[in-house]
Amino acid sequence: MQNWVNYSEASDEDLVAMAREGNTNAFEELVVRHKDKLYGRAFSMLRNEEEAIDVTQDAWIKAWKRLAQFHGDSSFSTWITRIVINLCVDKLRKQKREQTESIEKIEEESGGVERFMEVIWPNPSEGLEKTELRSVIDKALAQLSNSHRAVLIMHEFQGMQYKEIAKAMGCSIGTVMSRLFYARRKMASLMSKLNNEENHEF
Amino acid sequence: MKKTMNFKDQLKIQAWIDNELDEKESLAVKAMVESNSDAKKFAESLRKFNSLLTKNEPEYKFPISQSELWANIKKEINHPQPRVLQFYYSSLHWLESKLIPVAIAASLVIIGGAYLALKFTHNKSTVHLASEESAALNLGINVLSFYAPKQEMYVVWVDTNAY
Repeated sequence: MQNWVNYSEASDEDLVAMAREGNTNAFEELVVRHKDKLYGRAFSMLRNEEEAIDVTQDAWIKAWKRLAQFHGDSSFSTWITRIVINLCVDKLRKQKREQTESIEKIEEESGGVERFMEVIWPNPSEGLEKTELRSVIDKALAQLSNSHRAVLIMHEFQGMQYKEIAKAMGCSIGTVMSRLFYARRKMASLMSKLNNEENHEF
Repeated sequence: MKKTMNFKDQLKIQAWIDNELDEKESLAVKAMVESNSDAKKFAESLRKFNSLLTKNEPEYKFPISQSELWANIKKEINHPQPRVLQFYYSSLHWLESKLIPVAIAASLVIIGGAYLALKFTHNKSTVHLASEESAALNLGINVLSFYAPKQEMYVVWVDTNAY
């Protein structure tokens, strides 16, 4: 006789254990809980709604297939978000291979002209409400190059260490450090610019 | 004491703020930040900026309905292949965690098999020896062989008087 289970009150760990036994209802509850976060991560990295939906779905399917590999070393949320990030990185890598990168783009990867500029960290959030600030961050993220955005998201929002980012992106720790540095600087500069524009609008 | 910062210093300060340095390096950067006003200003700004970003991550809503998403996922996970893959991954994990004992067990099986094979070969050589004895006897040569189990060896007796 099957016991009645209140899935919405079960912990992620319990749901994972049930899903491992083939319980799709438990897995569906995990999807309900984490779908927005996963989509958010995919969208912020890819900046394309359709691709982000595909990646999110693929991540759930992969997670189901690999549930036996999840040993609880991290939370389920962290584990599945890593799957999304890896899928996004693969997608970005494929896109990069397909595109011929312009000199300006390559320059940007290594800091571009900003490399030779004085380091200024303006207060990019001055006078902004939380919702406005999030919108500014979103817009600024959209303007970063793929590699700068990926590194920034993995570090700032996913809390990944340099070596983990390097492994995911297939580059050296030194490259991660410099990309992160330029990504932050570019981000601060874009946010300041966007902030000024928003203030001028009102 | 160095008063200007180069790119390497900036990366070091960034790594220090990101808690990526070991204790020795961390102390060195801390000393640099405390003694250099530019480094201090840079470190403070970077710290503030990082905090601003992490606290204000943009939020996005999944644009399609839960039922549509789940229907797409369920269609794939109900496919028989995932079960096979799940078994594969489960077996892989089992192998990883039990690799050493399994390797030892496999080695023992191989050694045991080799021992049995050798023993079988020895028996065969007994037959071989016996047939050679018969052949030798036919030629008028007195040859006698036997296996001495206590000594674990074959003894071959050749009657030289026959020559």
